[in-house]
Amino acid sequence: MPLAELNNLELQFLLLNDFRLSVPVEELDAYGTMLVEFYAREVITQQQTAEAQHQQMQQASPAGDEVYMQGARRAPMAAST
Amino acid sequence: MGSLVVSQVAPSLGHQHAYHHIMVGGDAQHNESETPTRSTTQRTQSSQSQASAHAATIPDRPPSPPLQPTETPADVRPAAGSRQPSHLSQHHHGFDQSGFPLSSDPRGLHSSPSSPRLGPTHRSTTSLGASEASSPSRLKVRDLAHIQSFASQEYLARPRLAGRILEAGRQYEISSMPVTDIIEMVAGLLTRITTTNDRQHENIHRPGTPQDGGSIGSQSSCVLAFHGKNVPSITILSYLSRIHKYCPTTYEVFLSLLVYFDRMTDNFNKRFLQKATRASGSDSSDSHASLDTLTEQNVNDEPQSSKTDENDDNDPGQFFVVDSYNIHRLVIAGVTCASKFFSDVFYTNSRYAKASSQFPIVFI
Repeated sequence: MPLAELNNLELQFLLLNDFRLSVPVEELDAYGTMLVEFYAREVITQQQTAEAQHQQMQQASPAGDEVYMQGARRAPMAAST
Repeated sequence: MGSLVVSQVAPSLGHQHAYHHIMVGGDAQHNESETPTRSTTQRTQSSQSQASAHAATIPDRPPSPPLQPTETPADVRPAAGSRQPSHLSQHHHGFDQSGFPLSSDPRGLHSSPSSPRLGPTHRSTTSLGASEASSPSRLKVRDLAHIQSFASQEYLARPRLAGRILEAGRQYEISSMPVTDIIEMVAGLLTRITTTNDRQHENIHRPGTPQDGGSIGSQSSCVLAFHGKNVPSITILSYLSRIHKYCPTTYEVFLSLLVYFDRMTDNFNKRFLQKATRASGSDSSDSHASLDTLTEQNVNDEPQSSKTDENDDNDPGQFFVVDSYNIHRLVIAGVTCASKFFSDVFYTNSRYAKASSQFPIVFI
């Protein structure tokens, strides 16, 4: 990025902020809290997704086992008849 | 909601100047009743609710409630009210001149007398590390792993309430976290915001094509300065990390970026609304359009509903929205400003320019 462009962006940024860059401590704290909450929620969402996938996997695999077991059970019966 | 109001009000504006003021008064009060809860964290929160809406597509998630958005604004509101005194009083004054009811801007009434905030300037230049960490509801966060651990603890304890797990009113003290962790969180939030806003944008035209330059004039060019033609390929996380790598600074700089972005969008869109109001005289429908755009909720509905009258000129594409096209420029400009403001040690602009020089620059 050319220096002149950054200088311009800096000026525009200040203009848009009315040259008031001061942030009260409380406001900064509030944003920090908000940020942590956001991240915690992201973590939870990820866990939920992972859990949902895990459950799907589990639901899929016992069914597979059952089929296998049924097949295994049937086989001896067929042999005995 | 707003778009509905717009579609009802807008087409008839031409012949209803008789009780125009009544409509203005009512709508303004209505607006005021909903703005305070959204004041400074408007965009951020809307992105959170968007985020929750997004997360709601995950099958197992309980119907996402409006996640805690009542506590953060409560914290922020006093500051929000008092930190924009001159702007609000200017607003207020404007309303006065055009004969609007005084009650239409209650915030102006109680916040206008306050002086420029020199005190906070001084305070916020000092480190926040020692700031009142004694409160019992205040949790000192060590790092990301700490957040992960307490988030999953709460989640395991009450999985059904996952949306609300975070105790209301608890504050988190992040000053002792590594800056890189804070960068990661900021980047995550900004990424979520931009992707959400991009999605909202998709159906309406880009702000890169100004249809009505006269309406907002130089303000518009301020915003357009940040708008790139292409989305830089570098992610926000690696961009922030890169800036931090070459120009290391404190966490306040990155955190304050969020504050500034919120203020900028607020200020700009309010000002835009004011000018549009004066230009067209169709105050009520305009104010609704702006609120909707600010909250990023109903942007998609705007084009259809507002095509019916002169509001077309002031379409939502003109609003200042943080998206993937301007986020990188906003970030570098913000870091440049904020590090000068917050730290005694800062770098030259050419160093920042170099640090951010990795993406191609295409200007409008």
